[in-house]
Amino acid sequence: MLKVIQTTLQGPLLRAEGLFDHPFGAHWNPMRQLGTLSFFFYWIVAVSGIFVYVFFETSVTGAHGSIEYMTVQQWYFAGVMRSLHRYASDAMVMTTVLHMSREFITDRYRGVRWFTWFTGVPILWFLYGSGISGYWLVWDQLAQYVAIGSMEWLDWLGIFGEPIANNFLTRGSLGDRFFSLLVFMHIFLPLFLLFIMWIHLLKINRPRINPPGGLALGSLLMLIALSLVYPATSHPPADLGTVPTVLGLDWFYMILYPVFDTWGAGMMWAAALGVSMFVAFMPWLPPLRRAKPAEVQLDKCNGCTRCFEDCPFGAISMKPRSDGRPYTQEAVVDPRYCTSCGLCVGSCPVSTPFRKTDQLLSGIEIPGLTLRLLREKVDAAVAGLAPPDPAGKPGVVLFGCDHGADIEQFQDGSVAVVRIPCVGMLAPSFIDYILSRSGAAGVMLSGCRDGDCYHRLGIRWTEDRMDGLRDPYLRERVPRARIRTLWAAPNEPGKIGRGLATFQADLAAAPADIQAGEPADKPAPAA
Amino acid sequence: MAELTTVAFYLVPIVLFGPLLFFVLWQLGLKDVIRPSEALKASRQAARQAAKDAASGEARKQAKVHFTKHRREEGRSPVRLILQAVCYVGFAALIGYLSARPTYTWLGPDLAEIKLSLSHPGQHVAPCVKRTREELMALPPNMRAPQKCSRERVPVTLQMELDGDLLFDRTRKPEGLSGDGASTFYARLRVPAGEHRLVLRLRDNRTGEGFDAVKDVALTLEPAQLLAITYRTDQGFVLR
Repeated sequence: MLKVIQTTLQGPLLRAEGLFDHPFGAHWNPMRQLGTLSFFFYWIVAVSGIFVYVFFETSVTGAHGSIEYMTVQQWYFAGVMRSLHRYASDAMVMTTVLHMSREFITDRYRGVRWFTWFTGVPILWFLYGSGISGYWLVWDQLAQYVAIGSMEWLDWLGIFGEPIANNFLTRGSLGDRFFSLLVFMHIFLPLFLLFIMWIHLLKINRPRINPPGGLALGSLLMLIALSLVYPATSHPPADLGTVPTVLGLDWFYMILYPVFDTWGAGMMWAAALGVSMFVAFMPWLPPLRRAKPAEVQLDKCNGCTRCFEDCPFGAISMKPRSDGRPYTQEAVVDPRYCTSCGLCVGSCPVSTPFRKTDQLLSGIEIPGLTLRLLREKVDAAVAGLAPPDPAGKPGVVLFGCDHGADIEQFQDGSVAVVRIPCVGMLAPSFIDYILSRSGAAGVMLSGCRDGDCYHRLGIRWTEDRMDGLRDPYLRERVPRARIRTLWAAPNEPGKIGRGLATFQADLAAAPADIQAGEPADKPAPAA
Repeated sequence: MAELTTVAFYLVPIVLFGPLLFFVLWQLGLKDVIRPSEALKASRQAARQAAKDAASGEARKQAKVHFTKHRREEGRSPVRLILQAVCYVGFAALIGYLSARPTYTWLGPDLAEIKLSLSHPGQHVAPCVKRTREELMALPPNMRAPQKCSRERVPVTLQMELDGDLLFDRTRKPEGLSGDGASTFYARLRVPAGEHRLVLRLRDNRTGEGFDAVKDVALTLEPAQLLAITYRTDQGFVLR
């Protein structure tokens, strides 16, 4: 059932995301920065909240007036800060919910990702708690409605001796003391939220918590402009002797209140807890998949820490040497967090195909696709290429990953296809190996959509390695003109096809020495 | 016994969930914060060194950038910036609109609300019995209460009738594990604004017959008015 929902929604999601690629580019695409944007909006809410708190009067009689003062008299600064506080909170709800939905649709919540997914559920509770408690403090008619609804919802549990909704029963019922409690709730709930957000990222290596500068700036300017053009305002002051009639709800936070009015507290508790529990335990619903974790080959591992640094999920740690060899550390894999993506294999300096078959072993191996098997796979694919023909298309070895566009359809006499778990598994020396030892004119690397690697860091590490920014480097002698990268979503096989055709045309038009490749022992001219 | 129950009420969650919470936090990384292992220290040192090396930028300066160039060029062309602005406007419009619109009508025109909120203990299940002199002497000096009363109380029934229609009729058990607390009622009822005849009845006796408190009142409710009804043992029903 979940799979059907995922499959149905994946196409529209990828298409919608692709639309944002045009204006923003792959790395600024907000749909791929939903988590970082949520963090960013949190900081805006925190800073603006601290500012607003300075001017806020924490009393029943003074709260509304102090906020009105900020909104009307101090509209140009305090008012903007108040609006920023509200709109950034709303934006955070939107990006958080979208982030969670996206992780579900793209199937990034199971396996080793269970922890991140699981801790995302309390984030939603704390986020809503933080926002709702903020609305109480304005102490206008909306606050009256939300506060009474919230208290009645809590009273249903029957854990309070007297209904806490009685604090809002009549004029004069609400005292400054209880109001101060609400203020404290609005301070401590966001702090707990931040704490849970920190926990949320604990099992991710190199988590991104800041959006790219341009996207952050654009989002901030957007919120400031919105605050100036359409400032947040209050309802009339709360009056516990009357009932608010028509309310301008903040639907980001209050969408459940009309449902509560219709269903009642019991149903709302059942729905809220039921949905939360179901969502929290979704990672353990079938179909369960568990690939065999990476295995360290101690006799080849010199403790260089590259796999430890490159692992996207922090599954590798460095521990004191256990085999007596003259190195200080060795890599150790925690199978609970290993996705078998193979990024560690790609990072290992020993992962080179330029060895005799009996010595072909990496310092860290994926059981289903060892270095030896990978070279055999590459050799077999290259052997399927037609002999070089000056009149025909240049032969290209096309690498693809398990989560990108389907590449098998492009296999023919001029294209050899090799599928690997993640493009980051391919050590740069393999490219050198193909271009120097086989008759292939070029190597094309494809994978997930740019900025959206299923294994988080595969594309980034691949590009960095080829540009000499990250170990292991692609050797200088390899002509870059004979390599091309093309990142495409599963629904974009056409993009691969077009890129492939262009690449082959470019190779055919390239100078003969680049097309044929230089001998392995001579440096190639700069591309 | 009551004290023990109360203490248990607070202790059970702490005893049950406290260690669980601590275990979860410990597994999440508290152990690494409090007592990092030598291996972890070595890992952190390696990570710091790697970050330092990367930050030195030597490799970056010497690299001929081909494949990472596009990362730095994204989103900066004028056309793209204009398109981004369009997207931002759309996003801002969505946030601005949904932050206060569409409006929600909580209470329709010409309606008022009556809120019943009262907490009242029923009578004891059995009448108090006067202790004999012998019984009193058998008790420790500090426990020689002249009467012996059962703790448990009877349920309380509350009815509200408006213009002859019975709008509210509930019986609530007393709160507390021993059933010795008050019976609590809380309800919001929407009624048309205007003139009404309101009858309130409350039963707290152990016979389960008749009503011990009745209030019959004519009143006028303005649109959107909130009428709160409570009960006090010394004053009976209180309308505010």
